[in-house]
Amino acid sequence: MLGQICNWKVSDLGWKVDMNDQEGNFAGTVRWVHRGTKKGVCSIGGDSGAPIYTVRSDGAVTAKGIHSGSDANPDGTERSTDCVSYFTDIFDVNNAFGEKIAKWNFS
Amino acid sequence: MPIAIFKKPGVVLPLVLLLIFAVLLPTAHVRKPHWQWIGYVTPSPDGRTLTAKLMFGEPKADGTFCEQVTDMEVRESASQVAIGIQVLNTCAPLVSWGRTTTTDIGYPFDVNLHLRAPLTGRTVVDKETGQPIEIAQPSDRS
Repeated sequence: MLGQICNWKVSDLGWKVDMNDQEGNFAGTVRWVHRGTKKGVCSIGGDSGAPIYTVRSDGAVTAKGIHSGSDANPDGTERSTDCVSYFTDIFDVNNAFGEKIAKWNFS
Repeated sequence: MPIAIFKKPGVVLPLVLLLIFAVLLPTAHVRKPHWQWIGYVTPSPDGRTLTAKLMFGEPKADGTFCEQVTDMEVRESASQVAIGIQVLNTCAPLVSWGRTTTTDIGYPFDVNLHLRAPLTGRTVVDKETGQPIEIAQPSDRS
C-alpha cells in the first residue's frame, strides 16, 4: 500500500501471536508484538517491514517499530473495514538490525 | 402429521445442524474473487502494454501462488486509463467464519494489460477506487 495509514489505536502490548499461512495452517509464532486497531483502510500484503511511527506535537517523528502482520478474512478480501495490525517494537528491531535502522533520511 | 417426522430416529440432529448452519450462513465469508490492489504499472517501450505489479501472499510449497487472476479490465479514455485485476485466493476455504492472522509479507507478481492506443501522457487509475496508480519507467525499478 502506498502512503500512510494513520490513527491506529495501540491497545495491547507484548503479545504472542500465531501466524497462519494462506491455507489457514499454522506458519509460526511472533512474540512481543504490539496490536493496533482502526477502521477504514487496512494494511495489505507487502506492507511488512513498513515503519510504524508517531508524529509529535513539535513535528518530530518517533520510530515505534516495523509492521509485521494483520488480521484478515481468510480469503484476504474485505480488509478495509475493521483493521488489526501487529508490529514489532523498535527496541527489538534495533536489537535485530542495529541502531541504524531507526535513522530517518529526510534528504 | 409434520410433527411425526421429528420422532423418527436420525432426523432431529441433521435438522438441528441444518438450522444452525442456516442461521450462521449470513455471517460467513464465502470465497470469491476480489479486485486486487495494484502497486504500480510500467509501460512497455511502445506504450501499448502496461505491466502491473501486484503483491501476492507467500507461494505454496510447489512454488505456485494461491492467488489466480480471474479477470482483467481496461477502460480507456482520452485522458486516463482505468484498470482492474481480479484475483481469487484458491487456498482460502469455500466458507469460513472469523478472521485469520497472517504476515503481510508480499511477493511481487506481474500482470500484462494491453491498451488499444499508446499510453502517451494519460493517467492510470484503479477502476475500483479511482485512485491514481504510479507509472514507473523501466529504468526506475529493477
